[in-house]
Amino acid sequence: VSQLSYNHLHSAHCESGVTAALLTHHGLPMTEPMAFGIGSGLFFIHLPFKSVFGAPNLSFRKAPGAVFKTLGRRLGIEFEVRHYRDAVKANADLDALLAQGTPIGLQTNVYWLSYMPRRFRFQFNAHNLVVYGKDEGGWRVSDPVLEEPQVCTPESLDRARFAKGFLAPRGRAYFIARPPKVSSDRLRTAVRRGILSTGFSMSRIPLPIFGHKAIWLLADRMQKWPTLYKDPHDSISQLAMVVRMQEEIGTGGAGFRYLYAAFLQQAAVVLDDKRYQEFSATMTGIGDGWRSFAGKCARICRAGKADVDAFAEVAAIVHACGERERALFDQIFNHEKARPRRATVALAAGQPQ
Amino acid sequence: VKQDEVPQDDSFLDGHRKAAYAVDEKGNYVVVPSKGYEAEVAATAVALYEVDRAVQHAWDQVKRGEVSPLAYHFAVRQWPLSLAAAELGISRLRLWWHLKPGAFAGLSPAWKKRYCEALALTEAQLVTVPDAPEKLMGQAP
Repeated sequence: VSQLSYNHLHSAHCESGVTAALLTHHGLPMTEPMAFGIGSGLFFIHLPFKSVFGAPNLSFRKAPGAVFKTLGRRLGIEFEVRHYRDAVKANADLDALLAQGTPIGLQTNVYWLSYMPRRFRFQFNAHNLVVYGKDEGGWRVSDPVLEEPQVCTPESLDRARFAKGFLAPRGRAYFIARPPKVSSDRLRTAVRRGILSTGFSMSRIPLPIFGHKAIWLLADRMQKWPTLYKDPHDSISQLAMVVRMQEEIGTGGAGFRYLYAAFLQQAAVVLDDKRYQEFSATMTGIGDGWRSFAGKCARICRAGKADVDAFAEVAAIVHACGERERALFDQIFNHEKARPRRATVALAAGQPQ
Repeated sequence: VKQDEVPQDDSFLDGHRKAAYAVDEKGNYVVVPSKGYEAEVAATAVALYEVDRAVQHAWDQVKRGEVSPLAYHFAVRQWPLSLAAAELGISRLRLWWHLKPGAFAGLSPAWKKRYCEALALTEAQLVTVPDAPEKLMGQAP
């Protein structure tokens, strides 16, 4: 029986939650929105074909693992990411790291996690959790999406870590190798870089499958679903999948938009810039827009009819959200770009701006 | 959303609550535990009915002797054929062959063991399907 003293952090998005909790454990207080923002977690991708599960290919965030890695790089944290081929070596390493007093983040498949509610378990390979101890019943697991720490049986954790398919975790384990030391100046620069990167990728990538253009692409295609699919059930299930990805799968509401608004608010304090309070309020408004989209979709789902007008209406909301995000991230990018680099350094030295 | 407007609707979380971000009366963001959001529940219900339908369809086919019980086990695990092949480490062509009842009946013990391990089933469970198909949602509306 071994167990670290580890504080469970209940959070909205699994990966930013894990990242924030690991950093806090190693003595660098970090909130979930901050981790999400510095790691540039917010994104939008839409590929114009179906996935193997028949769902529309879209994501409100960057690829799994991106937040932890990007944040680690930007803050100069010594971290390690490992992949494994088999469970024996993976578990031996887990034991060894726990013995050293290091909690470990793991990428897992939700379906195999024994403690998850049955109807929440589906094939999704990019769920993150922290292992912080072991006893007779199994691994002690801090799953950031749930309120309390859980116990996971060894067999199910092995299955979850070595599930196959899209975004297969391949036993991915990550941890912080040495207690991080981050100066307030470095933090400020990291926040700045996180904002610039998200601002760029949401407003300026000249490809239709990324950023605000992908939101428009989704809106355009969504509008055609009732005429494209003969069976109304098909178009409804496509719409339902969009709403699930936006709300259900650990996003903190409105496809990470509220989470990002929380980050912008904290960035206002870190960068000592009141403008970010306004950006945050705008972001919240955009999140409300996505929420109203979800509400309308729910009505379509319940009605069970693929009505062309109803689909046009929800597509228009999505398009409007895309336009508002383009405007906001364009503004944020320009605002942050215009800030002289020296000002950040001077601020750190305690001189007036 | 405002702190007191965070949806607290009945959901599929079986009593768990998840974290939602909302603003308090001063406009500051806080984390509020949420029991669920009805729009999300409606969308999830669509997906769960779909799984149920696929499971029922596979179960019917097995009962009619059109496919081997593997089809049912895959449907319960929400494995499309490509994912099932990846999980088992075999080609789709071979899987297609094993989905035929005749071919499945003649499988060697080694193959059966391999399927049992991949599907986390005993051999008795592997070669048959339950008396009633597993349901996540009950009867369709």
